[in-house]
Amino acid sequence: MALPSNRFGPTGYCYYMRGLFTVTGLITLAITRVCGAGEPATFDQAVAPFFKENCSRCHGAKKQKGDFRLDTLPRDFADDAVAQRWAEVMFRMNAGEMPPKKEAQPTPEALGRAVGWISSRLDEGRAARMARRGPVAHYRLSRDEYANTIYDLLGVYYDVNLPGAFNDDPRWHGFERIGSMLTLSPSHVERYFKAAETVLERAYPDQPPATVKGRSEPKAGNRWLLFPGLRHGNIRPTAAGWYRIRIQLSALPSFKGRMPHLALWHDGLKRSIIGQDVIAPEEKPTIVEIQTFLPEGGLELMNEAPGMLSDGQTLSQTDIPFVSTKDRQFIRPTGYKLFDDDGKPIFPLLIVDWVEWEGPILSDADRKKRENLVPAKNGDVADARECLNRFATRAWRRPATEAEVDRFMKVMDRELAAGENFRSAYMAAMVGVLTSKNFYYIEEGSATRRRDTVSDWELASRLSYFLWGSMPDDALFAVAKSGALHEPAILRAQLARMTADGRIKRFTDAFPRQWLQLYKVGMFPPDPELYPDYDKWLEKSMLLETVGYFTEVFGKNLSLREFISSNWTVLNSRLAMHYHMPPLTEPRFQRVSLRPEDHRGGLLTQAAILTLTSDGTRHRPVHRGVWVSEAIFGKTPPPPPPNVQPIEPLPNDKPKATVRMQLEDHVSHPICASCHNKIDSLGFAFDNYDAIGQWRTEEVVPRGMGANPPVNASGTMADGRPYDGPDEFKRLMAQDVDRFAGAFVEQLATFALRRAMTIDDAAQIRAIAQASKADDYRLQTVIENFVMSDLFQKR
Amino acid sequence: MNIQRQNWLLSRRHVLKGLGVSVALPFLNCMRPMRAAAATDKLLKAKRSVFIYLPNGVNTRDWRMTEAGAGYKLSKPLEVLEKHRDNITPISGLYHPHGLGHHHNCRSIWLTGGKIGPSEHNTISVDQLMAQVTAPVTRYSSLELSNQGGSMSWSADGVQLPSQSSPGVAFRDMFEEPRGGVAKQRRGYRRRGSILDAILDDAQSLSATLGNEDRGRLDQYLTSVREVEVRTERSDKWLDTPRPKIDPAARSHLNRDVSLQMLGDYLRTMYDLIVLAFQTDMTRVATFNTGEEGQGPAVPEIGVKQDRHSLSHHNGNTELLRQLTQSDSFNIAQFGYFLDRLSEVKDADGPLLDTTMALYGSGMAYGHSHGNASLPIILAGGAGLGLKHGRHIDFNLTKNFLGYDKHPAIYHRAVNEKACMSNLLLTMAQRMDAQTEKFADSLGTVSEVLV
Repeated sequence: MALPSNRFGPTGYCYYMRGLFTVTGLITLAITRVCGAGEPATFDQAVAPFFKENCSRCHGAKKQKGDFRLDTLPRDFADDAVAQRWAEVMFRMNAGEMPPKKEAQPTPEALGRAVGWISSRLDEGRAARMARRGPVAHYRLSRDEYANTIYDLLGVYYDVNLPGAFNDDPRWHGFERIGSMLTLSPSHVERYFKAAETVLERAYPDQPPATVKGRSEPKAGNRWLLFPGLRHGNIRPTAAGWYRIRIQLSALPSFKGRMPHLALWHDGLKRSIIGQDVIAPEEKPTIVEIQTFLPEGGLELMNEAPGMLSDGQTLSQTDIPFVSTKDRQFIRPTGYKLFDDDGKPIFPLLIVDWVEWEGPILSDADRKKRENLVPAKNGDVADARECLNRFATRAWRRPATEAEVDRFMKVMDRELAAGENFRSAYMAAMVGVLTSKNFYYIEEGSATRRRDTVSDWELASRLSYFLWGSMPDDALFAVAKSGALHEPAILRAQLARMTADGRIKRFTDAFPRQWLQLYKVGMFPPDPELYPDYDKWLEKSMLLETVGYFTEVFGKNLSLREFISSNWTVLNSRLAMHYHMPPLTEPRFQRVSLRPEDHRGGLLTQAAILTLTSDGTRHRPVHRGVWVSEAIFGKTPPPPPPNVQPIEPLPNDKPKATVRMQLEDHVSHPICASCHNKIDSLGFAFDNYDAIGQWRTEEVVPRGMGANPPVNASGTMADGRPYDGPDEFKRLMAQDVDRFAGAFVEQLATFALRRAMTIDDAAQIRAIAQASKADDYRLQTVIENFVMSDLFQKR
Repeated sequence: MNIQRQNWLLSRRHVLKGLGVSVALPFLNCMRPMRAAAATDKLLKAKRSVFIYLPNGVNTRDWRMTEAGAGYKLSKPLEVLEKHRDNITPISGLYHPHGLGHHHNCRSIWLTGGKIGPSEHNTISVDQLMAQVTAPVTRYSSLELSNQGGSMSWSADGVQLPSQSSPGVAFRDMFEEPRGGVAKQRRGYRRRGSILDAILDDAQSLSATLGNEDRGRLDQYLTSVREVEVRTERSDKWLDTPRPKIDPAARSHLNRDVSLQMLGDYLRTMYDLIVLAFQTDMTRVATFNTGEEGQGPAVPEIGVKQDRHSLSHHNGNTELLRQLTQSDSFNIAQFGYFLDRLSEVKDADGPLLDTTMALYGSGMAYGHSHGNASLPIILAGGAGLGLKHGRHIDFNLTKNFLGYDKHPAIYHRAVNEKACMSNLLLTMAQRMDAQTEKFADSLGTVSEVLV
């Protein structure tokens, strides 16, 4: 099998190296210190003696610690992989990681000479490495990008997450759009076919579905009582599409303050597709309006709060009509007890009056997208050709050539020859346009001429897929066509326009999810015995908090520092409850101020992050340390060696021990300690939070003797500064904002450029971060500096 | 335009005219149907393989068997397989070298032996290697089932194949004639063929201007599109062969969704579906992932309410360990049902069990600390393919072995480094007539299971 191309994606070395460039300030210092003057030294003069003296014992012919051998490392610096490897060597030497501290240390002069030699060769190889990049690069659209593009192109919602719709996208450190990861197999091609056919049938149906209104309600005078787990009402969409659903209901929280959760349950998919917490007094019902895409199949209203039915019991539905909670007849001695002695609900309850729906609704904007792409008259081949040309030009995000249009017109000819009617034959050509590589790959470069910069058409797509996760709109196309997009003032104006557009939501949603690896939330669901309060809505709320937080920083154009530490966050009522914070009067997500005793603020202590770094039963300090290292410092620690001795379960006759105590015992071995000291100290700071992110001061340990041990969340940063607890840790981290800014730019660039950053991008990444410092690293400033940089505009 | 492409056009024209000319399919470098004549004799007699995955390892203390050879005693969770003693071989000591230390990646490489890393993609899974052999004679080259998402099957390019979690949907896909009748379907295939022509021409025009090493993604694209072309042609040809008629009782049993709340019913229904697929020769290769590593299903019907992932991280809790064994035993009992069915149902060559190799097991052994050595593995059936059973094979029994008391270290480090699971996968692949001397990191075959 083919390995992913080094040119466009992660290499094995990047794994260790990722983000090291954010601390390349260090490297530059060393280089400038020694490379200022004199004859360039040769390998034999500068490096060979150094290696022999300091490295060969562990990384030579006899022994290859960490599977790494130095003396056979090739010196072809024009090769990306080789250069990355050398850059790693240089980094480790510079950072003082190698030789290890316990070994004899080289003199600064010797170190400088060796580092200087490597650094010069890396610089020299740069042009050759760039030249070796292929003339044309192909980046396949991720699932979400496909869906967005289809919507922007034709106004059709195509649910890529439906079972059987599309294959999962493989990720690289959370990023879903890395070119070298997005491979293609026959099953992808088949699914693109099916998708294209479905999309075009929906955009141009033989019989457009009429917008239908429907209503479902209980018998006159009654209301539907939905206790947790119960479903009622029938919503019957006539076709897949956009629907407006209105529900009049009361919603009573439980006496403990838990709100009922109104959800639309899909009978076919056997899951709810959308939902929200609601609160409304029994006497004063509210009307909730939901606008959403509905796939085919019937739906019901559901109270999805966990409660009486979540224990696996079933409850036979009562036929006694419900009118009011005051109705004594309803409070039966044999039924489930729904109210306490004060008449307050024991479980959160929904009381529904009616549900109405209307759809599928086609907005004027969506209808307009479909205009002029299908010939008006049957038999008008010339018009068909023009329509197809327009369609291909938009779908492929650049002008289609005559030869290309010819190819797909031939599809139409063959269909006509096979006896298909004109319209159907034309549709086949349209299917062809959407199954062509030109649609689902982003293509950059030209086959005939090597070039370093992207064309204006390519720049338009870079910009729109970065900010909108989708194709350019007409305005951006127009600027690209004029050939002026790369002009700074024009590019800046487009960026401002696109940032203000509603579609920017796709960026503020997708980027934090990928950067922070939020796909891991819920991957190992918390053990219900240990965490009975955990439920799906909590899980979703956790995600929405983190995404909402990012959106707020973006929208208010706050400093990157806010990602580390803040005195506010974005919460809904479910999370306020989870965090043991004062209850919110409204269930929706809102910005709230934090008190010191809340121990929240910034990303690091949000429930989503603390949960995704746990394994369902326990918090994992090591995972948390790795996460901080990756997401905040952009540096991935090496994976653990195979064959490590496991941490054994604690025997019952020993005193109880925290995970940290067991771990410290475990990593007392010097080999383990060399890595773990660095990783774990970043993770121990969060020991005050359990596996679902709740605050604690003692760790519940199921086995062992004695009381539960107190949490110890103290430690030292890599530079030796001590901290005690997560709040101090975050304060110290916030002082390191320069370092974080570099790492953040690298994450942004990885996302936007669809490839891992290499040694050759390091200088530009650093420059973008530094340029943003003057404006206190405001998020939109960072993005603007990035978009205006060579890094963004060059291939 | 090259010759292969003209063949394709030619063939379609001929079929259109109703000449029924048999067509030489374009030859590609991977996943090719075998050259017709020579292969057909071998393929007359069905040889089948099925691979079943149990997530999160097992309760190793209850699972392990300390005696090897013919006189071995089945351990508690395996007792239910006693009646199949002559048709099964429990194997201890196998491991994937690339699995060690890789936690829950073990499911992804269980059938590939691959190394997955930041720069390494997975490699072809053994079932897909087998499917290359059997594909020319079955309507479906392979069947991928998985109750919670990920399949265990990976293409030659290291891309995970999609899988089906609902028995009803899988049943309808295989046994129901698609709507619209043969003529309409054929029209659809021809239309697809014509579109494929256009997009291939388009890509080739770019490909021709690029040097070999510059094609990168484009080659993968061309290969995939051509493969779809082959599949489309094959589907077209199969249109003339009616699907088998399924009796109404079997249909209503299989054509349904089963909740995981009724895990036994779910597993047995999936097993029944595989039996039917084999019996009707819809396919000869199947994989069934009975649970994801992150959340292997609980067994509510016997009171095991926690998922297998939570149970496996038992932290020494005796109650969790007891439930883990309960869950292991339950899953094995369902596998026993599958073996029952395979031995009851016959085709022209006798009981399906004789012509079917079934591999059951996990890529994890001691889940609590992610120990992926000495995997729990059971090989069953396939007597007609030259397999021999009745013994417990224990690769741990070497000079270095200090005994099963060294729990759990033996589940973290291979006692016998030569006992690669790929050896077993290679052995099975060869029994399926895959022409290869090596699979992944195999060092040889497992002669102990061969007659």
